Amino acid sequence: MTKKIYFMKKQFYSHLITLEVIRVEMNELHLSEKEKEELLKLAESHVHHVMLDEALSRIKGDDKKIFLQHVHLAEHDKALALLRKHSQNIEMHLLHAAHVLLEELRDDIRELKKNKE
Amino acid sequence: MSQNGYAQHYDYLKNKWTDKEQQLNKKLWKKHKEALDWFVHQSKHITASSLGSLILLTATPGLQSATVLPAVRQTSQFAQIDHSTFLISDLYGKLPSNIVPLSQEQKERIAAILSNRFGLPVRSELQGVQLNTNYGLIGEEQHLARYPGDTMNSQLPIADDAAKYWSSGMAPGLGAWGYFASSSATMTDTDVAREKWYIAVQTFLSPGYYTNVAQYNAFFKYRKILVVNPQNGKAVVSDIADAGPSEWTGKSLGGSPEVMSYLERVDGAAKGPVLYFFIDDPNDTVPLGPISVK
Repeated sequence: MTKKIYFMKKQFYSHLITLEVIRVEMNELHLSEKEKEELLKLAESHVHHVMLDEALSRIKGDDKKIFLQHVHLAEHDKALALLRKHSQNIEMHLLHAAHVLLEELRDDIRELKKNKE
Repeated sequence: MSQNGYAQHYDYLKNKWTDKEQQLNKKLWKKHKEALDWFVHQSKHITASSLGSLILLTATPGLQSATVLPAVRQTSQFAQIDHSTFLISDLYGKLPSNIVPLSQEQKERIAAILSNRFGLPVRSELQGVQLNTNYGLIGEEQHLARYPGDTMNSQLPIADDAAKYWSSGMAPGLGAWGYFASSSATMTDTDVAREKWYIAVQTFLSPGYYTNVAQYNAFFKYRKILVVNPQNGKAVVSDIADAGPSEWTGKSLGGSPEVMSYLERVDGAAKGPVLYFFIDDPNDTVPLGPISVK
């Protein structure tokens, strides 16, 4: 069973994170679809930065370089396997970092909603 | 609010989030400069002028550089997402950061999540019996002989399966309940599935086990268990066909090669955390094998 949602481009963390909460939060701002898309792309860029930071922070030594190669070549499974080698609960760490970021972005939107009211 | 007001919303968010993106970019490069510098310099196709945007997505207007990573150059899109993502989100924050036995409250909360997501009656306790833990490391087990004279050739007659699972080999001893069938001729599809999707559980560590070993063994024999990889949402309906592993291994349960492969738990050490709970299936209607989130 599937559901239609805004989905980020495939990355090593794609199975963990969606921007659906941000898209839904934006609905009440009456942004045009094009504006929403541009903002979601910005949010996606934020997520990518934070995920790379979290991942590289968990990897030691030259494996950081191998990891970047995997990301560069879109070898998502290999990138994730390498991460798991360095951090058994890497998904939990990635989820936590993404959660903090997405809450910040939601707060930005909620602030605008308050002003709207 | 006027249309101008709405336009201000866009401008406000765009400016704020563009600034934030730049801050995140700076932070990333500051923290991981050595690895990122190495990556840039070893690539013939990325120029020094694009250093700042190397790891960026192409989201920021004006930063649509041709030199960004291919992995992040594709356009975002609306797509279909499997509901396992929602299971992962459900479980996030509800599991302890270390792999330790769950509290009673955690067990109940997670059993409720799994029941809801898989549409099955998932229980941490069934008929008064509990497992020693419901969250632990799983390791790969070998194939079990299903009947006297069973061999790897007879277990894996299909070339693709043989290529994937042959290397796991066959255990020298039998499973906890002996052979699955008395002979090849009498072996049923159920017997085949029971071996294929079996797990080994530390039945001997179950609370109260030694108060009535025979009764507990009768309960555990081929008992259906939902095994879930909380990190990717993949799940299998398994049956208990062996007892183990030993406590000293640091692992809490073992999975057949097929179970491990499906759960994607075959990493370097061939072990990783899973959730495992009883399925209340008195009429034997839940089939063994992979199961998806509803």
